[in-house]
Amino acid sequence: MMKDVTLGQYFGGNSVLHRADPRAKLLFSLLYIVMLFFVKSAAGFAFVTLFTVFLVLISGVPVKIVLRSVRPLALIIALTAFLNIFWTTGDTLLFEWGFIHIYLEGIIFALFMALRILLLVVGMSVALTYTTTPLALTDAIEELLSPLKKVHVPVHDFAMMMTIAMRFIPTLIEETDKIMDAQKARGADFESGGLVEKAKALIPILIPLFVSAFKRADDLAVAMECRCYRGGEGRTKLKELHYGKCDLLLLAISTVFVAGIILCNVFLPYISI
Amino acid sequence: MTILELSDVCYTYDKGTPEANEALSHIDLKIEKGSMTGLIGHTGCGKSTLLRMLNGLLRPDSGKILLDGKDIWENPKEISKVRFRVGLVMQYPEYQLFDETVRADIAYGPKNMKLDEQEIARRVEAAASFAGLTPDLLDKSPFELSGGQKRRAAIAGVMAMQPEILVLDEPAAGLDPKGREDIFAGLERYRRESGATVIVVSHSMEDMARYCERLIVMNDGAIYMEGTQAQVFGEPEKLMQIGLGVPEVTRLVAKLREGGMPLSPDIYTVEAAKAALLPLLGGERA
Ligand SMILES: Nc1ncnc2c1ncn2[C@@H]1O[C@H](COP(=O)(O)OP(=O)(O)OP(=O)(O)O)[C@@H](O)[C@H]1O
Ligand SMILES: [Mg+2]
Repeated sequence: MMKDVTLGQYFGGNSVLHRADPRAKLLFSLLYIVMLFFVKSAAGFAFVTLFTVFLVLISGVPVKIVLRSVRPLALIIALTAFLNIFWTTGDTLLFEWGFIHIYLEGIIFALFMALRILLLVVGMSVALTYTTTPLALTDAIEELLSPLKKVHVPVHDFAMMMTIAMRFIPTLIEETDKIMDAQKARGADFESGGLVEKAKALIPILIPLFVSAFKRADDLAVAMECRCYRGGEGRTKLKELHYGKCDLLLLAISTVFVAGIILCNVFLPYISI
Repeated sequence: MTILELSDVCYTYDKGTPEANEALSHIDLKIEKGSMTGLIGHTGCGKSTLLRMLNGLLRPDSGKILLDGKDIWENPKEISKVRFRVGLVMQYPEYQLFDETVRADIAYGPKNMKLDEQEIARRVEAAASFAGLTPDLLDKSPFELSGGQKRRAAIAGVMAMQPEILVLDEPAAGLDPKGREDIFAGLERYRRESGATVIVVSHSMEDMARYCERLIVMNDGAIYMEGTQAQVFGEPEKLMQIGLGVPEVTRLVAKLREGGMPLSPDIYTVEAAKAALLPLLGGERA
C-alpha cells in the first residue's frame, strides 16, 4: 500500500527534454518560472499556454500523466482563484450583495493567477521532474553550485547526502511495507481506535524501521570507507555532464520563449493586470 | 480432514501497469488438518506470495481461499481474525522485533488477541520453549540477541498466538546445521502437542525429507508437483528439470543401487539410509 506513493515521477523517454543536460534543464526551469511572473496580458498568457503545450508534446509524456501532477494542487489553485475574485477591486463592478463586491478585474485576475500556477506546475513537471532522473538532478545541482566550493561550502557533501537519501527512499518504503505486513500477521490493527491508539499502533513499525535505517547507514558508511571514499576532493565521475546539441536546441527554445513574452507585453498589452 | 483449501487462486503484482507480474496462476491446493507440509520451488516462483495469501495479507485477484470451508474474504473487516488462526512467520522475520524485552515482544501477538495477562504469560513461556529460547534470554532486549536467537524470538512471537495453522517462510535460512535442526524439531513438537497444521518453505531437501510428509513443488507461479515424499522424490528427473533435486543421500542410494546393492529407492534421510545399509554391510554400530 505504501508502494503506491509515487516519489520522483521520472517518466522514461528519449525526447529532446530527456536528452538535454540536466544543468540546462535546471536553468531553463528557473528562467521559465521567472518569466511566468512577467506575463501580464491575455496575449502573453495565450502565448505561454501554447508554449507549455508545445513542451508537453515534445516531452512525449502522456497528457494524462502530466495532468496527474496537477491534481494534488487543484485545491490550492481553486482557493487562489476564489480568494482573488473577492479581494480584488477595480472599476467595473459586476455584482454587489452586502459586503461582497465582485469586479470584472477580480475575475480576470483570478483566472490569470490560476492559469499561472497551472502552467508553473505543468511546465516544471515536463521540463524537469518527468524528464530528469533524481540522480541527474542532484548531479546538476552539484555542478551548478560548484563555484561555492571556493568559499568552503561543502557542495559535494550536500549533493552526496541528497543522492543517498533519494536512493534509499524506495528501500525504506519497501521495508515499511514488509514490517507492516509482519506486524499485521501478529494481529496489529492500524485502522481502528482513537488518535492515541493509532499513534501507539505505529510504534511496532517505527522502531524496527529506525533500527534498520541506522544499521543500513552504518553499513553504507563502512562500505564507502572500504572503497576509499574521501569526499569530493579529486573524485572523477563515470557519467560526466556535457552540453550537447539538445542543449543548443533548448537555448533556442528559451530565446523564443523570452522574446515571445517581451513582444506580447510590449505590443499586445490588452486585458492586462 | 481438509482445513485449508485454495481453489483457482490467481494473483498479479502491480496489476494494470507495464510492470505487471503474474506471481500466482490458478493455484488449487488442499491442506490436511494436523499435517506438516513442505513447499519447495526455486527463487521467485511465488512461494512467499502464496504464503501471504493464506493469512489474508494479499487478496487473490480471483479464486477462493477456504479456511474450514469458509471463504476468508467473505467479510474483509474480519480478516484480522483469520490472522490469529493462520500464523505467518515471514522470510527473515528478525526485523519484526521491536519491544523492550524479548518477553514483551513475544507477547505482542497474544496482546492483540486481547487475552488476559495469565494466559499471555503462559503462552509466551510455551512459545519460547518451542522455539528453543532459554528463559534467561526472555528478559534481554531483542536487539542484544544473536542472529539465530532473533530468528527464534520472531518465530516464538507467532507461535504465541497458538494459530491452528502455522505458516513459515524459510524459518531456517542462514542458520547453522544445529540451529536448523532445533527449529525444525521445535516445529514438529509444536505440531504434535497442539495439533496444529504446519506449512513450511525450505530450500533444503534434507529438512523436507526429515520433517514433511507431504510436499508441494511450485514452478513459475503454478503447482508443479504435489504428493507424498515418495511421489515427489520418486521423480528426480522431473525435479531436476526445474532446477531442484532430491536429498543427497537419495542420490547416493541411487548410485549404490546402480552398483548392484539391493536397496529400496525410497530412502530420503540419513537415518533411513543407515538403517538399510548397516545390515547389508554386516555391521551393527555406526
Ligand atoms: N512486492 C512485490 N511487487 C512486485 N513484484 C513482486 C513483489 N514481491 C514479489 N514479486 C515478484 O513475484 C514473484 C514471486 O515472488 P516471491 O517472493 O513469491 O518468490 P519466492 O518463491 O518466495 O522466492 P524466494 O525463494 O527467493 O523467496 C517474483 O517474480 C517477484 O519478482
Ligand atoms: Mg520467498
